[in-house]
Amino acid sequence: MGNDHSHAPAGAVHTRRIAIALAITATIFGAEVFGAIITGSLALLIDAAHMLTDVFGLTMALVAARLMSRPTSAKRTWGFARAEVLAALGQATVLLAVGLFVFVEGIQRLFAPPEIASGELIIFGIIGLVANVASIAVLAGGRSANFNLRAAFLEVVNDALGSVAVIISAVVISLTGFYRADSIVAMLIGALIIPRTLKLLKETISVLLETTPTGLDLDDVRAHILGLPHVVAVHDLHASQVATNLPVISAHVVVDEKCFRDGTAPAVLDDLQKCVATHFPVSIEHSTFQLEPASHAEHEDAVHT
Amino acid sequence: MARSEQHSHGSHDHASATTNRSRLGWAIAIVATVLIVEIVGAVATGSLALLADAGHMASDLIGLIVALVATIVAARPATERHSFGFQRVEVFAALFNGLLLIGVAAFVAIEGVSRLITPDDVQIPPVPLLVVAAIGLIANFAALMLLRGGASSSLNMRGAYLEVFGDLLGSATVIVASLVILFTGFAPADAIASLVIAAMIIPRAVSLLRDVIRVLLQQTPVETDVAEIRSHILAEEGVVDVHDVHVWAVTTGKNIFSAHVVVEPAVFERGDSGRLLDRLSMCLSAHFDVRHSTFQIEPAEHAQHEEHLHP
Repeated sequence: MGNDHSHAPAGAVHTRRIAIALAITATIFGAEVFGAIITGSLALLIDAAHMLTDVFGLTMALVAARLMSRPTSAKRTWGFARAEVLAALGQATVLLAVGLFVFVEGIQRLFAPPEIASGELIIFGIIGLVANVASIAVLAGGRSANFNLRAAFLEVVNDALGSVAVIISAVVISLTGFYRADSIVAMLIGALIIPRTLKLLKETISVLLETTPTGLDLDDVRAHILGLPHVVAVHDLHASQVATNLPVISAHVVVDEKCFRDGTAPAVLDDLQKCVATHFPVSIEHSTFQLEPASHAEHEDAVHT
Repeated sequence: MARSEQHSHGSHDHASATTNRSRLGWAIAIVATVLIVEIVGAVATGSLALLADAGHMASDLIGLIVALVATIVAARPATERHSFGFQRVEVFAALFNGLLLIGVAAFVAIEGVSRLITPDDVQIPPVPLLVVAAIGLIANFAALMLLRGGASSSLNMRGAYLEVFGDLLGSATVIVASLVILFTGFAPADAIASLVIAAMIIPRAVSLLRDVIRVLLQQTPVETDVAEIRSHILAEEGVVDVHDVHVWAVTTGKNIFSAHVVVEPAVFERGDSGRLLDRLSMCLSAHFDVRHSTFQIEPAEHAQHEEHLHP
């Protein structure tokens, strides 16, 4: 969920690099919040909020990997897999709140632009840029060419662009006294962040609502299951996602009575599990199928499709 | 799940959902009326106290409306996209109300502390304050009585109840504070009262949020003992092992269970797995509060080629 460049599993080799990048980013986040307060710059504030997504993404890569590998327990039969999703929801909410604040405040400031301490603003902008470049250098060294590389690169460039925009607005302000530049830049950065935040919010909420994983059509799954040998009916078909990479499915499958006598039931089970693991765009490794004779469904009190 | 309940527990669940909805509807009507009266009063008299209380009422109203919308959405039947139905929406409403409560309480506490440190020059006129608080008290008490019956039925209703409860406490402490100010002239009473409200609301809101987060994190419901369920399953004849046991709740009280049960080859040979399934389902629904269960009964050799095994 979180940031694109947090997806790669934090192997032992990468952990140190991620920790260093996190330390840099967290420090800069603090510096930028402080800077936003003393300079009165809205652009710096939204850039700091953006930085927060990086702090979050890197923390996830560092902590979540460890947390999620902790064994499951009787209290948490899914382990900590969901923590990632809830944390992403929190992050998206904070970003959205800051984004909205920046727009409301930015529009007001366009009418009555307050003074911005542009000298200090340049310094904070440069600090942000240098830190971004340093993070790129640290992370890039540890990355082999993989799926996430392009997305991660874009994300990091995006961050650096924010800092560049802050510097440009600070220069414009110090040269021309055009204080509105700060609000304009802030809203531009906001316009870049908000659509992605809304997407993240939508994704996390849909996981938390136990929505069927994207790319999985339950009608299709039902048709596949009904197409398997010996299967008579399917009911109580449920699919959801515990976390980004943990889709789960469960179903009650009514099979021929004779399967329970001639020993073909286990083979049907194998077919079912192979079907959901291989036939669909979303591969489901964690499936639970209750095979039942037709006589069972009759006295189940909660049958539905 | 939603549809299934209409079969089994239909009449009961349906009735309680409808009552909860009408409870919320009436509570909203009361709070909205008082809110309008207070705004009109604030404009007419220029009273800040009235306006502040109207602010409280507004947050209350938002919380109650969110709760009402959630109960309506939650009643929708399950679809292919939402195979567990929409009851989880109520948990989100409770999350919203929990956060709203903490936000309001924190704001009140900060205000209280800052007024204790630097007392307002503006003297709060105690008599109008007393009148406002009394109106609020009566309205909130009526709303609270309406909601109390439903408070234990869902996290959502508990959240709505707490919203109103917070306001009731607010009105009550304000009355005490204005009486103290009226008779003793002890001005800090008002600020102290706000701290008392915060101290009473925050623990309740935190406990609500803890329950909400437990549901959202797919944790085992508090009253369910997984170890005991495992031992019950293992005690059934022919069962060798049990793995991938998962218990979670769509919303509080709507528990979902799944497990893979490894059995002796003889169970399949005898054609007994259907009967074992009956016994397992019966055991679970009889001994534990589980609405929906899925048992995968498998021979020992199946478990060996499953990708990931865990207890």
